Amino acid sequence: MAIEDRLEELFMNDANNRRVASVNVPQRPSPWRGVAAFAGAAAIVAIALVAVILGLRGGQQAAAPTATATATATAIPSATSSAPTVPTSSPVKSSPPTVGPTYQSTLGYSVELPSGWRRSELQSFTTPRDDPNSLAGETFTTRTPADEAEAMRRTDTGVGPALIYTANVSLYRNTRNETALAYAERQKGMFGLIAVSVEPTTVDGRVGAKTTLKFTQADTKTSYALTVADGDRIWVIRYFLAQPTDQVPAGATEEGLRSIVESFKFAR
Amino acid sequence: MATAPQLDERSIVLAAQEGDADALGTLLRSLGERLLPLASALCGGTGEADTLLGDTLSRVYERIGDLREPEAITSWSRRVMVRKFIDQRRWFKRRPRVSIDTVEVATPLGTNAEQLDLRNAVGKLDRRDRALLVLHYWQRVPIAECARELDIPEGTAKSRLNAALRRLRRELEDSNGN
Repeated sequence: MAIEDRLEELFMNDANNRRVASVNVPQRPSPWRGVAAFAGAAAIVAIALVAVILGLRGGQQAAAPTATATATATAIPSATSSAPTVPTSSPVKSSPPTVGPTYQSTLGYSVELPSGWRRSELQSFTTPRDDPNSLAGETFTTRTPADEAEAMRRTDTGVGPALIYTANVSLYRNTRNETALAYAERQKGMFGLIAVSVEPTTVDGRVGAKTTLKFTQADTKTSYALTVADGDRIWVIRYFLAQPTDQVPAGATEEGLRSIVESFKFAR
Repeated sequence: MATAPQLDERSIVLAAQEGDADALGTLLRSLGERLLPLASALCGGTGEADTLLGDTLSRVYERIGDLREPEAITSWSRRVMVRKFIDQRRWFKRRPRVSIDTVEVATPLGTNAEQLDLRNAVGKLDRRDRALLVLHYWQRVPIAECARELDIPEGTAKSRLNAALRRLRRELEDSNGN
């Protein structure tokens, strides 16, 4: 039998070996939910204003400053604290990269960016999106914003070309209170790559894990991800290479990627 | 008569795009049944097919509003699936919104020795080549369309297909020789 026919037979066999039992579709959030949330927030603000006005009239002037201070303080998570009780789901204010080679993130870390690298607005997020355990992620690229937008548009998956030759710092909730090594070991499949090894290392002086990765068994090139636990959170610092068929963005080098990853430091 | 099912699906897609939750559920269940064989063929009959299908349906769930041609829902979903399969950079994979449950079905060729050799050989191929083989030799998708789905030039698709077949033949010869 010709190999083409054998392939067809193999794929047909594989195709028929599963049946759908159920498809579970979540309810779409009601469009009124946002309106209700806005109305609720407006009502709270109105009540607070009334309380402040009444308080001032009565000579009690403490209410307003307290409310303002709390809102500001909860906007930035404590990245350097090792206490497991630090809340992690608070939204984090996004900020543009600082001028100069050091990028100071509001997430509570810094990295050194070689010339030509910048923080990607398109591929970074600082509040949890669909996965509540994925708290934030910042991506660094050499692509121009227009080139990056085009690379993202070219894929239906929302990821792909734009991720090639980027470095990334991600923050996850450490739901099982695991060590960096245990987390890296358990999550090594999540990369969608072949994890060649997971070994202990130090990340900015803290106990961490280094996962060495490659696309396929035949690959000679490897990349790696650093994992470090931080109280009830886990940081993953990594970089993404390209497959031989992918085009490397202008100005991006493996050396540059590694230097960004290796420069990761917690905010002091 | 022949166009009735397509018209039905078109109206279902339009309703789903306008926020009809029942239509969206019907559409995703229908797509799930149609796309699972492709997911399973791409993933070599492994459980990864469930994840791939879940990811694909989640993408459809999130982006159904962006589809300009409702009648293209099947080809669009297939393209999403193939690209998700090829895209091994799933570090940013978000928790799928749509999940599926499947049952395994015993198949007659599952333990056939020759097929096992071929399966091993196919397993060593690049994912893009594997997708190309599945689309062209099983789904009978013309090369030009395969190339579009994989976002590569047609000439590249042809040469990759030939190279993949050569590699498979060599792998099979080696395994027969041992």
